[in-house]
Amino acid sequence: MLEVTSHFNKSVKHLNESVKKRLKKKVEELLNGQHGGKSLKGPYREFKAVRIGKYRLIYSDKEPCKIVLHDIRHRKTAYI
Amino acid sequence: MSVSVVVHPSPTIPYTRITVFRELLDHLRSYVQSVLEDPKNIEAVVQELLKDQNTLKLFYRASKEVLNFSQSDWLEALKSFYALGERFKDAGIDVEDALDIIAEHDTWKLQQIRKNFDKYANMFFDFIVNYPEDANRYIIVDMSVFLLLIATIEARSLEKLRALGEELNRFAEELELYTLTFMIGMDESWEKELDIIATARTPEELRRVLEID
Repeated sequence: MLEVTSHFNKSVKHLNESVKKRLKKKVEELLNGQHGGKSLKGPYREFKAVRIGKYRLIYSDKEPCKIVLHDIRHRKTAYI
Repeated sequence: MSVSVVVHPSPTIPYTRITVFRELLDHLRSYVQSVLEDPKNIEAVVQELLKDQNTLKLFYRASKEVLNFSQSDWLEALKSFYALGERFKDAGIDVEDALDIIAEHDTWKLQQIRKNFDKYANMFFDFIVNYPEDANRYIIVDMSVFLLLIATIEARSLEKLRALGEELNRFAEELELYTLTFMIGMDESWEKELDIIATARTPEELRRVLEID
């Protein structure tokens, strides 16, 4: 089962269709237990991050057979 | 602090800044040589470096100089930094993601120190106090990335560049997890928006929650 948070819902609205399709593929892989991400650090250890091109999907999988999507972020550089 | 800032000062950069960066590079020379001899031994080299008070003081001074960078200084530094990728291409190793991750980390950190210093310092202090092992590892990872990039400039063989590139990719992957951790730690909306607003059990429902047309 998949759940999404309100934070994720906001982030996904900014994605184009091509990224959304890659996101769907990645989510399907995660639901099948494939190509999982790595845990974040410190207070956010329960969250994992996995790359989708230059995007990072942040999710949690604390409960068996359930994935919660929390965020999707694009890498940013350049401006200080 | 982006390594390229240290190794490729622009002709327009003030003299004192160049002096500090050069002095730092001189102090780093023996560490860089050790990294070049055995890139896989980088963590042990960093552990030694972290005991070297004189070099750490120079790091502090160089970091202060970076804080005064203008936007054009920073873009110039990033340009030199990304040029390092060409050296790795010649060695047949792709470090494009690693360079992006490092640039993102350095740019974001500089932004926070300059624009949100109190909040960033509080977040980082809490991280150190409550998760000392993770904080220690972060210093090792960040410093390893720095030394690997400096070593890249000095590497003279493709074999050595490949070895450095492999280590760089490994550490960048870890650095990215810290960057995301700190970004979330600074994002006030994160904790407020953890409520579940939709579920999906079928492929059709998955399309709906991902808002795919």
